[in-house]
Amino acid sequence: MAFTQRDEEFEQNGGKILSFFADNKFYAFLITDVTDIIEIPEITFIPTLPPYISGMMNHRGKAIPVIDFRARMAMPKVDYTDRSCVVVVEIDSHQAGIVVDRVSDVEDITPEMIARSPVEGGTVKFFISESKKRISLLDPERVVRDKG
Amino acid sequence: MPKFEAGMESMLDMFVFETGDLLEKLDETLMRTEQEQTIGEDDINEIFRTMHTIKGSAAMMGLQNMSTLAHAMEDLFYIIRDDPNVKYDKAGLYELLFASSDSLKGELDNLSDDDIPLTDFTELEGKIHAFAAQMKGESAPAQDAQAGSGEQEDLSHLFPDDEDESILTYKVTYQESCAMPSARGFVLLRGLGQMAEVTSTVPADLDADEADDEIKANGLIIKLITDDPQKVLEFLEDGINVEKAQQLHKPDKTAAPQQTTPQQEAPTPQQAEKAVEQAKEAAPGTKQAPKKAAPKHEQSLITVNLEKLDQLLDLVAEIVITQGSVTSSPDLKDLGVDLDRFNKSARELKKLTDELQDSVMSIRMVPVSTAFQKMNRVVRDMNQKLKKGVTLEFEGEDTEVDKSIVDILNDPLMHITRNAVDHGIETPQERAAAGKTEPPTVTLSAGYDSGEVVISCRDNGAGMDRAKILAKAKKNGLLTKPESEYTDKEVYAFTIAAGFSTNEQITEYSGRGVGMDVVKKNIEKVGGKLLVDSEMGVGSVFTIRIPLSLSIIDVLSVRVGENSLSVPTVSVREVFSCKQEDYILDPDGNEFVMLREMCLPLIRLSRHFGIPSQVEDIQKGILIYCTEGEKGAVLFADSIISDQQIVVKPFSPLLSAFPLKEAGMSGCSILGDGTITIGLDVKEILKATGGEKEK
Repeated sequence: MAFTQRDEEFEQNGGKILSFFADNKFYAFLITDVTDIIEIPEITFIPTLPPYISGMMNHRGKAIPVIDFRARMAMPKVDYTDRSCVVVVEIDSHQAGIVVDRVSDVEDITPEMIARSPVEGGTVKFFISESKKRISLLDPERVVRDKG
Repeated sequence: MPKFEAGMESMLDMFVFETGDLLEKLDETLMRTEQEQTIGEDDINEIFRTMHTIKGSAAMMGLQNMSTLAHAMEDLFYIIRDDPNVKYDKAGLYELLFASSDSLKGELDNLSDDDIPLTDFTELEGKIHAFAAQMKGESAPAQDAQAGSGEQEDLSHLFPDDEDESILTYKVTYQESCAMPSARGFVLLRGLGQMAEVTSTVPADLDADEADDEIKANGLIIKLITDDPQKVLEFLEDGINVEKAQQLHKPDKTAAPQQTTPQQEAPTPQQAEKAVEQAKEAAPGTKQAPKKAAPKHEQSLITVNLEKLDQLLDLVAEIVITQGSVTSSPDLKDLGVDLDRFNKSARELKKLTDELQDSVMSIRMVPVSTAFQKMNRVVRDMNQKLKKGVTLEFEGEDTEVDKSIVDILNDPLMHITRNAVDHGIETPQERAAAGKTEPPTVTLSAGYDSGEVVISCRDNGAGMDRAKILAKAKKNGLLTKPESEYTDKEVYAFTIAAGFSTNEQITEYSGRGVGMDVVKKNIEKVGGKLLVDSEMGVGSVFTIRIPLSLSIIDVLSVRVGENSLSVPTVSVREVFSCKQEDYILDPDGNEFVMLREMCLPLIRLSRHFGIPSQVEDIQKGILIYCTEGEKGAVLFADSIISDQQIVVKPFSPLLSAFPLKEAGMSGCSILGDGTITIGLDVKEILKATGGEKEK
């Protein structure tokens, strides 16, 4: 997926991101992509879907798909803890939930911290370098829709 | 090039809707009065008002052609109202009125398409004027409204001494042909709002009854404050029907009074006002009086965007679900305290939310009579042409159905009614020959039956000739088995099959054989059915059955492993449990179940979908015999949860990459307790078997 105007703006001016934690690494979404962060709800299994889609959940009266972030990134499976939660992202006005190990923080990012990923249309759009850690900023659409 | 005034696009929907509604009502009134052979005073006034409103709103939109046509129609009734005893050709009048009403309706349909130019109604208007002239005979010509003219215009009254210097004065005069200058003026003022601040106008109240006459006589005076006088002037000059726009200057008191504008033929507004008032007193009950009633004729109805209603419905559904999760929250149980008062309030809340849900659902319900009424017109027109004198009767027209269903019904009803009048009912000669004494009647009826809306169209005509239909079907190559094996039902079903028409001659109304199969397809598309029945010499019945709500379907929910799956009840024939001896496993690993001499393929839902399930023993689970078209099979599930109504929503577009539909899942639905059930598509599931319904 090509860079949207929003991505360009982020690269130039910086902005807020929601960072989260999975398998000892930091990832993040642009805060503008995120609509809710909720506890893990009851997830209804939908047959025939690939294993990384846990199923559907009832989010504010709508049934939306839930993606297991670890499974999606081919990380080893662990049991959900009380810190696991669902980050609800919006893609073209359709929502999807992404189960992550734990949400870390909402962070202000300045342009000099941002490096664009050399892979055009990859799952990671930007790498963000902070003093002690590196955060991969993800494209929610690529996380939810596996186009590979 | 848009057809209507710039800035009015947003009003188009409203205009089309309201005018369409008015025309519909006009048709009803005309039809009724034509039948009763008399036009009462109330009817005349109502028609007059209707035409006046259409004229006004069309003028507002800048649709000159519609406005003048409506004006011509209004004139006709002006004559009738003035002299109720006037002699005229009634049939001719109704023909003209219906033709005009149709023309207006046609124009409405074309409005949104910029490629279709505005229709020229001059010919029709000519006819109406000729008719009006005939009605009036050689009676007095139109009243010369122009009061004393030629007086020199004294502009000083327009400029009070204490008026602010920055206020500029403009005068706009309209062409003679302009039907409602007040409406045009109103549009101008609206447009001006963007570049200037209008402080006052003469006449002050554009809604007033005499505003039109006053503007015609004196032009429209607009006082405003602006930064760009030139732009304002250009804007005014560009207005529709504007003949001339000019800026007036405060006359210099010391200079000669002649130093005025070239427009001098009109009297001053005050004088005109006076003249109008005098006219009013002199001739009570003429033009002004009834007009006053027009704008106040609003009903207590409002128009709401369907989208907003859907939003509201979604919201209410959400509230109901949330309410459930609050009042039955597991946290409450852990509290271990007495919750009497809480429970009482919770019950109250549930009652209220239920009521809320019901009333929101009911907003979308409209009586089918709106669709039925339109058929009156169809039958009337056909009676005129075919001379069959058919009476149209309604039964249960108060039956309320979802708005979307009424919209769907319009077309099929039209086809079926036309068919009934054209093919069903015989000519008067044929009826006499057959010894039928009862008047030819087509009956439209509506009602509910087991969760479906049933609309039927019954005629007491000739009925269908089985032999003739069979012969025709044979000729068209539609037969698939020996003639003698066809049941009556199957034979009659040919009449709604594609490319079938027994009528030797194609008439204006029907006979091409394309209509009915399109009707059938359209009804089936929304999950409905079209059925035919007939009896020779007695008549035919066409029945449309449509599920009550298109989004809510009846399902049988079953449990498979952890999942709840919902099978639409329309596909379910039978639910049963089976004994070991009825179970067959063939050497190829195919499973079958014997049900009353039928050997049916068995589909285990758990295996079909790959859902882990504990129930493997055929005797422990539940069997559901489903059919879809020609195919039938038995589905095997763990247990039945309940039969219920659900709103099936398609899966999120984010999952479009996966073949969920092909696997046999049509969508999912959130139940009252917040859990999710998967809606099954039996047709897709049965595809997997290739099994025949009967073996």
